[in-house]
Amino acid sequence: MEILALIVLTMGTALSLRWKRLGVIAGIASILLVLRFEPLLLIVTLIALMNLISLDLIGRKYGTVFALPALMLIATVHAFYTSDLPSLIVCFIVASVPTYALVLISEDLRTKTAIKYVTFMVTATILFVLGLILIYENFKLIGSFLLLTGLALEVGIAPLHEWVPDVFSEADPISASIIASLAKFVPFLIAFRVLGGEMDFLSLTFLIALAVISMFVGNIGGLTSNEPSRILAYSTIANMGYVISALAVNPLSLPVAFAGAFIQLLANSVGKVGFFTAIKGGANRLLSFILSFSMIGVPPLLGFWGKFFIATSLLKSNLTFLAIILVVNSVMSVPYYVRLARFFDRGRSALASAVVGVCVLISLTIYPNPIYYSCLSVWR
Amino acid sequence: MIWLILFLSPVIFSLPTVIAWTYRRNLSISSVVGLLISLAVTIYLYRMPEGFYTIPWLPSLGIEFRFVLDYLSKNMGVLTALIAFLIGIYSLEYMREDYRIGWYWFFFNLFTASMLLVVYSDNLLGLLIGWEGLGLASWALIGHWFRDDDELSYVGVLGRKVGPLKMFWSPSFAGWRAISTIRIGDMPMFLGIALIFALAGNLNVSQIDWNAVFTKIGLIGTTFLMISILMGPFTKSAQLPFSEWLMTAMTGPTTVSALLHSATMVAAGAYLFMRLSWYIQPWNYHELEPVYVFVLFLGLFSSLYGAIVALGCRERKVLLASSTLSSLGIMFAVTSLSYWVGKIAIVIAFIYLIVHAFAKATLFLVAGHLIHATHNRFCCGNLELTKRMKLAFLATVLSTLCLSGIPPFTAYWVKSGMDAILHEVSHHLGQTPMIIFVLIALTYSAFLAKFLSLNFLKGERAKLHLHGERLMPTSYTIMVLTLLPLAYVLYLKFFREGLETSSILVGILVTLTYVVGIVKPTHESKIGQALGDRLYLMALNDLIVPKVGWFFALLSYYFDRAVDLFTHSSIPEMFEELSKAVRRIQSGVLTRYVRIVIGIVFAIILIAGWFEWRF
Repeated sequence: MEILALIVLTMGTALSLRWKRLGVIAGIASILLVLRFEPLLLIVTLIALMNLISLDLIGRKYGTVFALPALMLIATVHAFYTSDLPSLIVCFIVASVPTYALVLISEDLRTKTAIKYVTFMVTATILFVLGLILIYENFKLIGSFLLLTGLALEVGIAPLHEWVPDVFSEADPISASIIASLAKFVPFLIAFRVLGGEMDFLSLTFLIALAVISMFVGNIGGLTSNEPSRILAYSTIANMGYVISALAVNPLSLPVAFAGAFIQLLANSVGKVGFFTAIKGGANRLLSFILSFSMIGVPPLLGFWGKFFIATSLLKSNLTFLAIILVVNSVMSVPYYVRLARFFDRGRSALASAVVGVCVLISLTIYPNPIYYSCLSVWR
Repeated sequence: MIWLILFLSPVIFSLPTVIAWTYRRNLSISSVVGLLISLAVTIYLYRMPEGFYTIPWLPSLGIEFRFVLDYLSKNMGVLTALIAFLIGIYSLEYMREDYRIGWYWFFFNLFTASMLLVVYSDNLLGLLIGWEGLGLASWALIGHWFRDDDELSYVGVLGRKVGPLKMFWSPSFAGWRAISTIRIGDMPMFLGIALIFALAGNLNVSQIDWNAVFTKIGLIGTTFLMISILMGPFTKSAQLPFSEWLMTAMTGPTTVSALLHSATMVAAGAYLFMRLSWYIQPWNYHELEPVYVFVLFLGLFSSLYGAIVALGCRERKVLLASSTLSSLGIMFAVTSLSYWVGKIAIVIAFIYLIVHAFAKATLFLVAGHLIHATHNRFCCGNLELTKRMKLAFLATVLSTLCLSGIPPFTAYWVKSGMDAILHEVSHHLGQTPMIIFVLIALTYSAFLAKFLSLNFLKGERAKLHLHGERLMPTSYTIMVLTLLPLAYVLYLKFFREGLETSSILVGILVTLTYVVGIVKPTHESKIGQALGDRLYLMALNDLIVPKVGWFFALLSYYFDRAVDLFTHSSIPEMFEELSKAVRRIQSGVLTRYVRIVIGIVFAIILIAGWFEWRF
């Protein structure tokens, strides 16, 4: 099916140079072709669809850009169902490279930002792939260190987060929304597959240090930021900290941690998509507050369940201090999320409003069991 | 049932007054009827056989309402009800023009009912209810003129200051002072009662196995227990150094002062001590010696203090107040002698309480009438006034004679009894208590004579505003006349002691000071001024204790500030600074970012490689 989707996508994109609408249609069609009836993947697909549709807000002349999120989605979905090393590496690269192009796209060309972004991404990819190979070659320690470093650079975990605030604030909000949402799944998926429950003490320490630093840097940095996009950047850093902390659990509670991490990623993604779209096209005050509450982790919204599962698995692995830090950080994040929600008062375009509305709907998931069980089944 | 009537009738009958006094001011009579019913019940109880009457209350803890009828409670009950009733009649006229009669009558009757509960209760917990009722009612009544707008209701010369001390007190302030002082004593008393319950499992004074309690906790424990229980009576009866509230309590209506100083409130403290001693039977326990010696000297010194302060007082009611303090000291001291001489000491102290109650209530009522007539709190009045207020004059003469111990009047016989037991005790304690006691007796008669002389004979001329009062003179005349049959009864009881040479000698000396007091009632001097200012003991209440309070207030203020600073300034500022530091990395220059990242990455690779190589 993925092959078929790729063919459709290639054809459509080629033709979209002539007819712009065809690009959109081909993108949507290929996304629908890889559709799996698994709640987790359904929501990922939904996020990709929203990314694709919201690209329309940038208003470029050609329809080729619509292929990029579709491509990323195909890679993401494929990554969930494969386990051999070359495929994973390919998926990782395919899910990451389209974002290089996305950074460049906007009403005006942003070369400087793109160079900044590409520099870090290339380094990250090299480190990540190197680490992956080294682990397979049985250099476990250095391999996991390199993999974690690459992961940190790729998704923006402190102290290797320097590019995140700059890129998020300088690139077009829609591009940033894709970087902050769809691009995050594959690296974490691979990291969980490879490292989950198999780390030695040193790399575990390294991992926990990364998680704690990232949470604190993200939340503290967000407190005094004024631009909404910078706030979102720091919020992303903090969220990556939450997610990576789930990697530290012992093998027994790993499934729960995996579910928690991916629910947290979903919550983060819909929040980011919603807010970035809101920056671009405005949003209703009420909707933006619901998104904020979900990001803070107010029960029973989606963001709460992610943190809840992560904290539960941490507690079960005797990592109580990490769970406490997580909760403390959630509290610390309240001021800037509320501030963020106040930036918006009403929607300016129907498309943006629709996207934000869908994000809010996903955030309003108050019954997380389907997603939870689907995470468990994907993990197996 | 009879007990319910006794305790509730004053309160219930005061309710019509409370509800509707603004429409019909003569509803006050219903309150007095309540008091009359109580009086009738107490007289009925007086004729009942001695014994205990139990009403279940908290059966699971073995606590019950247990009322006692014995020598003490029978007499005290009738005394309380009678005096309250007479003062009630007096109040009908005295309080007629008041601005909140409902308040007055409710708390006046609650006061009486509480006192009756204290008197008849054998169970300490039941007694506490009455005890706290007394405290509440005293607060309400002392601060009755809460508007502080009438000069007549103040104590002290308005606007006068000595050093940092303000030498005048308003009713609202005095009410607060009374309740706060009393609470200081009540706290240890609760503790003591709880301790008794923990040790004996029983709160009925007459049933507690005191022997077991005392042997269980030893000498020090016993001293601690008794002193903490007695803190209640000490503050209630205004023993040193808790005497100030009693002096400023004179801001209440005179009727309240009369009730407060004769049969209720202050008497409750002495009465409780007597009741405890009655059943503890201290003469059987060696552990109690330190406590009883302490109470003896505390009582004697309080008494001496009260007597010499009364010598210097110029205000009618304050003079009487400190004389009450003096009498209470005597009661405590004489009761404490029971450790050496047995039950007779308690009986003598109790009889003195009765005599004092009637005489003092009379004097207060007369003082109230005088204040009413002269519109002046300070002693004033000469022979002209005497001619216009003959009954008041006669009542004063009779009550001062009876109270100061001039033979052959009432108190003489009691004091002879005291002389006798003090003489007996001198084998154990030396002559000091005797000497102090004689000094007190002499001073006592001198200031009573001064009161008589300054108000009726040699005082300044006073303008009279007589309104043809009837009830007021009637009630105090009845009250003072009860002293005469009492004198006869006491003569029968103590005539042997009264005819001893030493007693007669003391009697003659007392008469002498009485005469001196009448002939030369005033003498200006610095010492007199200091005495009139109560030896500046109020510094304790107005300066030292508030300083302690201020210290704690300051402490909590700084603590508060610290918390405030910490949570509202330090933490947010810290996070702001941290946040700025985190954001300072974001310079936007790519080379700098690359340097940071490459540095970190290489550091990580180095560390990881080193570990990989070593292990």
